[in-house]
Amino acid sequence: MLESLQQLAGGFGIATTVQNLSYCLAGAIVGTLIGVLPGIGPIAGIALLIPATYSLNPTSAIIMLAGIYYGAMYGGSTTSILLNVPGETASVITCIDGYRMAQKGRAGPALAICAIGSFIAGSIGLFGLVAFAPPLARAALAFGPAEYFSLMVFGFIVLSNVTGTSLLKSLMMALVGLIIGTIGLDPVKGEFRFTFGSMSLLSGIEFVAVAIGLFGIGEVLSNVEKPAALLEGKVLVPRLRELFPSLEDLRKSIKAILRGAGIGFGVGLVPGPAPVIATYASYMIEKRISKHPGEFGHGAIEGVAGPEAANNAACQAAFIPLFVLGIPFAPPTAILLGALLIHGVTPGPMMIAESPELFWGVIASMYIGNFILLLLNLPFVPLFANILRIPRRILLPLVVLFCITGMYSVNNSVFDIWVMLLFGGLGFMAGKGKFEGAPLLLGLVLGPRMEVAFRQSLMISHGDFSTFADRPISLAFLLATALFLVVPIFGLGLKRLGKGGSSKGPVPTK
Amino acid sequence: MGVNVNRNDAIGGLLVLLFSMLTVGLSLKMPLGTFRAAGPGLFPLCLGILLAMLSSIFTFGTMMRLHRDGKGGGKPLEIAGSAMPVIGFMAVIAFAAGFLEQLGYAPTAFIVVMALLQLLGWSYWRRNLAISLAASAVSHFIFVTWLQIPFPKGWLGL
Repeated sequence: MLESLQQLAGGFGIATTVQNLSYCLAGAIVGTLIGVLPGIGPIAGIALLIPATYSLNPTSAIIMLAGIYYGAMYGGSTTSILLNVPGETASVITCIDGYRMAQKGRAGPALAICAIGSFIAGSIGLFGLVAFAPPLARAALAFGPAEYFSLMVFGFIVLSNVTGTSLLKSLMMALVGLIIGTIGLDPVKGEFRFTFGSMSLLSGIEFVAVAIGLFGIGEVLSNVEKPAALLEGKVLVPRLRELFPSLEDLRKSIKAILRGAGIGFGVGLVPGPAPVIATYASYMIEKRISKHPGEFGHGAIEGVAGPEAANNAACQAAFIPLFVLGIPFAPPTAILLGALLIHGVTPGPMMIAESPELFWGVIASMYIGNFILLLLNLPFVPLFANILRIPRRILLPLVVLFCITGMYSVNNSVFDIWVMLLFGGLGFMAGKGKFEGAPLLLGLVLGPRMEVAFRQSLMISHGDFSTFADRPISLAFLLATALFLVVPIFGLGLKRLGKGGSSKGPVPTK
Repeated sequence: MGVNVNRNDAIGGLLVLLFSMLTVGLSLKMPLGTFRAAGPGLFPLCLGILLAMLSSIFTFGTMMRLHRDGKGGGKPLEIAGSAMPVIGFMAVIAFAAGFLEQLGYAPTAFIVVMALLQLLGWSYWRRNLAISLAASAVSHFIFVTWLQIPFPKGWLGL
């Protein structure tokens, strides 16, 4: 540990050179801008800007690309809060309470708590990275397909409990998402499924198209359906002193941030879309332990603080398997792996020994980057919050334009705009029936991974389903899943019994 | 597990049930294999069956509750505003998808914003024109010039 701290101090020496500091700043700024633009998430952002780093040395290049990564993750939350348009999956959960807060004129505190939460979580994540990287990475390696599958099942049940008013509706939406996720090539045998001869469907349905459609376009359509008088309705715009969180907001948020950071860091070490699972898990836990769970979904600040901290911590933790094992567990780190290889650095167990200046320099730059993001974003809160001052009659067409633009830019494909439109209509209709979109999205993202894990587990066990219960970690996840399923049903049963009991009581006299 | 139901729930449940049956039908046309060596159709088939079960429970449960509450019972349908702007917005997005490659990015952006502003009932032509021009110019600068995203240039080369 002491040796790690000494090396980290050396890393700070590397990261604070004028050159690296300016690349870190540039990365954080560009990342935030990319994240703020709907549709262009960290994956597209890093991919687009890799060529810009060709002339840099590997350390500066990765410092800049890492800055883009966490800058974009933060920026994605801004559009979630202000426009209900998540830049990437991990921001979906922020839409739930963040957007409600913005509608109530509390966009400023929501944005500020995002920045503060991200900074605190980033700092905790950095400490975790230094202290626990090697042993935790080894623990994550113990996960086999059965554990992954059970973990994902757990994720679905957690999410279904979190969103909406009906567990059944959420589960149905999750299954619809899983089915849509099977469109394209069979991940094991490579055969076509549900493509109907279309080349555009071979690579499956683009997640971003579904996300922007369900949330961005769906929300726009819900708005334009309202009578003109409502559209003209006054937007709640905060006064300057209401732009920053109050002491009460901070008091409510701090524990959620610390819990979110812990959850995010732990989940971030596990393969799969860690930031997504971490944000959902954090939201679920905050809702469960809250003294006022009814406020969740209606603008509870803990519902923004916890998931945002979890998101940031998970992003930090995702660097552990990338650097220590050379295995990227998430798409953005996969692109960073590509960038490392382009710059002649092969991540793996030997990286710390062979390229200590790069490893510790990047780690230190993450902390500096988080601090820069805090300094950058807090002053910009009033600017971002004032986006809401734009009349809706102007804002809505602009949101549509940005959705179309962002959508096309992901794959340079017009087909994705059609998919976005289809899911926009679906999101609009689903909203009328109070069917939540978030479980569908998670199903779409996790679907292919879940199928691979399911099929590999059964292949290894020769078709024996007991493999999921035989492995202790898998069993633990399944038991937790059962608990999450049973508790709400049991609670509902008790509620109904209570109602039944009361109906047998004395008939009130008129 | 909400107990407040309305006709939208029943319709939604029925649509999901139809989707699940379609999934099951299409999955059965693919090789299924065994659980030991699953074919491409097995996983979607399992998902389809599970979804059919859940949506059946949901739909029939909802219908039973609606029936129990009487013909006019249940929560009424949400009062909708005008459907025309919704259809109009979707048509404009469809136009953008259909003509982006022919018209190019900047003209499409201009037409989209202009048409949507008109749809929202703003009849100030000059103001709409100015906003549309500004929006298409700024977005062209950000996405095409700065981020260098290869948008189609279209017939006009814009």
